[in-house]
Amino acid sequence: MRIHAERGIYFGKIESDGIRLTIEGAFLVGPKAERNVIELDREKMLKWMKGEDVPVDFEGNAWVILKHNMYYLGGGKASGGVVRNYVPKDRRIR
Amino acid sequence: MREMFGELYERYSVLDDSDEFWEYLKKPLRQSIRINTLKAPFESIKERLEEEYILEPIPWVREGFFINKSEFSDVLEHALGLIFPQEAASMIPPVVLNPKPGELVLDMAAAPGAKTTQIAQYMRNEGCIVANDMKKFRVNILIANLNRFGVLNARVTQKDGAYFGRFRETFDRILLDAPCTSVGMIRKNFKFAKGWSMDRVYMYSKIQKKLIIAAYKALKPGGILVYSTCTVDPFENEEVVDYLLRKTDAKLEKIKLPLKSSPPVLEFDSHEYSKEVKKCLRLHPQDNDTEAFFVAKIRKP
Repeated sequence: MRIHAERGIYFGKIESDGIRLTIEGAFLVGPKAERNVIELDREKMLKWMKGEDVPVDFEGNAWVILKHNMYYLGGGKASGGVVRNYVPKDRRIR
Repeated sequence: MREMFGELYERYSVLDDSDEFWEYLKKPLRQSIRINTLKAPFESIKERLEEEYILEPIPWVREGFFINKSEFSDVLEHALGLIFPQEAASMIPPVVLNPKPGELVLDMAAAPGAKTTQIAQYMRNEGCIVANDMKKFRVNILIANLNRFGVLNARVTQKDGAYFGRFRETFDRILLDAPCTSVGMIRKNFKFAKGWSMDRVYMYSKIQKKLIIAAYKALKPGGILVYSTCTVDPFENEEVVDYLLRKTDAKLEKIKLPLKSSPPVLEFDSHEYSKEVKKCLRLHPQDNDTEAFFVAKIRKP
């Protein structure tokens, strides 16, 4: 079929020092990722999904995947024990 | 009722003379959701939701539930794309279509994408869905929803559905959830009662006939075409299916689902239809306390 067609999903954004995964990207990569996956408790997960930065027990600077049980919450940059929030406004919970 | 619904009452009280039809048509819909199995396991999403909400299974869709929640901005599963708020009757066409992993499927009027994501779910993201819609702003909503629900096997096109008629005998299955006067949606928004007119019924009926012929051309021999609308007018339902049966070698198949339905219409407003249309599924709002809906399952020999 030779007609213009949109394809692919918004998986992540390539940053200068790694890749920042979207929620969808995290759901795809998360189950296979062996490093830099941080499990949040329920309280921190809700904070994250409200658009707040969350404190984590993680040393160093890295792009990480956040998760809670079977739910993947997207990617963020861990730095100084905090992950900066990248949840887009239209995906946050109130 | 006559004052509230005007001309619409005159026409459809002939179709269904029960008081329940009109009582349910003005009654708000029960909220329902579909669990998206493309991103996380069904049971884990269901269990998590049950910690906070009461889920009542929808008998005709395994992934569908009525839920005691009407606003989703604070629901985690909604933000993560794990549930799709979708009307219970509108979950029927993809169930009837029954697509399989690996098939080539056309969703001719796909936006906003509730049924497309349901199709992707049944295909387990394998094969290909061509998800089409005619209007740019609707296509954008469709793309956003396919993204959010983790659909990996769809390509989105923006064309008049009739365009697909040129791809002869190409698709294994086709869903034509046709644009219509949306009388079934009055329960969601009264604007559909105010905007209703006989001119619109004629206009949509003409468009639907054009689309169903194009869809049938694009269907492979042995393939399944599902035609559906969210309206009650026989001119947009039985008449469109009858038109296809007269013009082509299409065959209807009986739809068997655990729900109540109203008898399909064989004669209305001096128009007569083939007895074959009895195999279609006609839902009035009081049958299952849902939107009104019409579904036909067509096979190409």
